[in-house]
Amino acid sequence: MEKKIGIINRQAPHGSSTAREALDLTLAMSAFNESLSIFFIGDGVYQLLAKHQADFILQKDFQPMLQMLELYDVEQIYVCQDSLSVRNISVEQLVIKTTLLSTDEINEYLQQQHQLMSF
Amino acid sequence: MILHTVSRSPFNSFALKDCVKQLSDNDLLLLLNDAVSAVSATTDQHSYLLQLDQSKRLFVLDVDLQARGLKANMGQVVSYAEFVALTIRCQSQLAW
Amino acid sequence: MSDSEVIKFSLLVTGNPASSQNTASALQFCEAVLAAGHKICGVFFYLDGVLTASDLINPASDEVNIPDRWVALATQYKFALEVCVSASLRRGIVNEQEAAQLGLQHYNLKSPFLLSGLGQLAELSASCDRLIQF
Repeated sequence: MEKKIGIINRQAPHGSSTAREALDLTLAMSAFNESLSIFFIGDGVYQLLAKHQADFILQKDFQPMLQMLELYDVEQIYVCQDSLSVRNISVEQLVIKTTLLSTDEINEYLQQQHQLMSF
Repeated sequence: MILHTVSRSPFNSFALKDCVKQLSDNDLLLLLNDAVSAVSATTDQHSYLLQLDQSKRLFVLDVDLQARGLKANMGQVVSYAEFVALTIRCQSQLAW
Repeated sequence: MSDSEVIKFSLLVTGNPASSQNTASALQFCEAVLAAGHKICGVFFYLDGVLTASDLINPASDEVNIPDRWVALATQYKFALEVCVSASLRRGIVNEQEAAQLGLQHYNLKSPFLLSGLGQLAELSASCDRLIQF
């Protein structure tokens, strides 16, 4: 049986390369594993906020790569509802289709994973 | 069951605070590196950590305490060997 | 899993060896895994962790050379030290082959570290019983 892998994104984009490199890792892993779940919690939700203009600060705009998740059949994309609300972000402002979860629901989903990677 | 590992100081990072939010009823918490100060100081998560300790789910790495001259006021002080055993006891590990 | 069973571990290491304790912790964890009779499938270095593979790292003589310790442990116990190639190239870790392809004058990958694709992480993830991240 294929392992269920959860990838947790916690960092804001652009200030460090972590978010971008975590997405590289996720897209690469998706070629080998069809049971990926991607979580965006805390500052990680800023990665999904639409209309980044990363070139203004000499960083790579990786949001087009987020669109590729769907192309690569990564469909289990979860966002922490609390993290969005506290940052005054509504789901309509996100660049990709996601499932909103409460903190407790995220805990349940994390328990179901065989392996976790956190960035 | 998840082994959560926190390595950043509770006084300059939200790692411990964020981790505690995602800790399920059976999960274990291991503090290492700069995070070990959380068991000798009084953090915002103090009462939560005490509860966790009472249910024997709070661990702290011995050498990281010793290296910093710190003493644990709570939690089970464990070696790297016991850290390895904890990762085997749990299904997965989540690094914060 | 019972205590006597041999468990296969893979590690994901992401910290800068010069400025963070992260890589040293991963090394000490590895040593404990092996001392307990378990197995290391391999170690995958990612993000700033790839800097561990620089052959030009030269700490002062009273400091521990973490990359040397990794090499010694991996050689003794015959496990692979895999370094993500894309994370490496953007941080100036290059092997002879990449240097030739990219027209770079120098290369600095420490032996026996290997430049690998992220597929290798997928492989390590699939083949182990426990994936541990530092």
